[in-house]
Amino acid sequence: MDLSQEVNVSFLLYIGTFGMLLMALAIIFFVVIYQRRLFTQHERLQKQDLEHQQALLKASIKGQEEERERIAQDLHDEVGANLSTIKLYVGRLVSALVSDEQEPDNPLVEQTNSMVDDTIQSVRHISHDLLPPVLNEFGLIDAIQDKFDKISQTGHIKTYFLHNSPSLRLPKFQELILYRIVQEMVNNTLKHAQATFFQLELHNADPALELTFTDDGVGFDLNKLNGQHNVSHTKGLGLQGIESRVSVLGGTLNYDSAPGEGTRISIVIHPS
Amino acid sequence: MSYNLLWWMFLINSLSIFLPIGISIVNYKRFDIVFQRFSLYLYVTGGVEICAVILGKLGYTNLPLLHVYVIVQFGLLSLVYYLYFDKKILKQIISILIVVFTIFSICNSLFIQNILKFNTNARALESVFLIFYVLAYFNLIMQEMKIKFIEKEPLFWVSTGILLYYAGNLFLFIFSNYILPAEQITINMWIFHAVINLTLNSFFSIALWIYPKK
Repeated sequence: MDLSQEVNVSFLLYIGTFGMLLMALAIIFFVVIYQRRLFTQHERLQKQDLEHQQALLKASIKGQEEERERIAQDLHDEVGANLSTIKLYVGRLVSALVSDEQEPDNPLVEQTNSMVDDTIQSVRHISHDLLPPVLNEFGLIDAIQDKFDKISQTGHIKTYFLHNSPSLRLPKFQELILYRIVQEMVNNTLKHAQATFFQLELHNADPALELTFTDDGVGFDLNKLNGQHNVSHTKGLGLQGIESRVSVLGGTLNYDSAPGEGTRISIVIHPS
Repeated sequence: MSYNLLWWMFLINSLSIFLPIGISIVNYKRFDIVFQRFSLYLYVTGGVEICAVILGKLGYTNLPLLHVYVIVQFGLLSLVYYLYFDKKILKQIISILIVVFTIFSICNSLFIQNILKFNTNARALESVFLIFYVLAYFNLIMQEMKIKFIEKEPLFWVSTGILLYYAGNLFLFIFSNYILPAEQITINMWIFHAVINLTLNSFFSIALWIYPKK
């Protein structure tokens, strides 16, 4: 190898190595800087998307509750009032039959009276279920206590409601959502758990509000629930409903369960 | 640079592979399949390093060992990226590159650079292919946006080390047969190689050290 060739090789070697190293460093620098920047942007977009979804969910739940309120009101004011009027008319009809001595003891009259009474009761139940008057008037604690008492009175299951804040009042929407969550947890237990008791602890640890619901029912397999691809399908509408309502309140939800070991659901929210 | 200093430098360079090996042995149980295969690559490299020293002490050339090692090394590093990538197309490319590289290396050892020569052609091709893996990995992490703190990602450190080492040494591998062993440039470039090899092993050590606990 002559001198000029040696110089060329040396030059190429140094320049080539320096160039490649510089390029490698530039690539690494680019990846580190842009990956962070892109990730931040990606996170911001995800956050915006989540906020948008939350807003939609909140609007949807609010709309649902307003619709329930309207139906409850209509049932109470229109259907309930009409049924009461029908009951009065039936009473008058019976009186007229008695005065005309036209078969006053007809079993049809008895049946009609009883059916009207049952329907009035049903309408009242549906209306109260849609919008418990106790909730509006006396607040969440009394509404939950009232619901638990009614379930206990059936004698099928024992209920316990423990709380540290008898005079707790929250904004109307939050009380309604929390009541719906409790209603859903209770319904799940009554429908699926085959429990002998359930218990709700409501702990007001200002500014946080903690709700812990437990039952001694059949429970469910958490691994099965988490291992499924289509989680929402597996969870069923009950748990999904609870989750979406908790997320509307900006709270956190945890559930713990195992087959034959009951279920425990903890919710923490920060009411404004 | 004095001979003594050079000797110490090359000794540290040779021993530097045992740092990531040590960390890998300690943390092996918590590694996923990708890092278990990467550990295997380290163990093989450590074994080859020991064999090379023993052969040198016995007065034999260790170049034939290098001809075999380069195929195994490329295969194991390819396997690391093969296991990491989910995309079918990348897996297929890696499989093809392993076959291409193995055939090329064998042909190179048989017909171009016999086993008593430094197999620079194979090393150069290996560098190009490994740089491609690293760029594919960087592209993937920037597309997927799954990693928040890239500096906490073990494979990022491994890939960074590989990119610096193979990009830095590519021209050395290409031209090393054209420069004479006694030239100053050769000594300079092998010092550079030692420094960048030390960097590579340090980055490997960081990767294995920061590997998340289960």
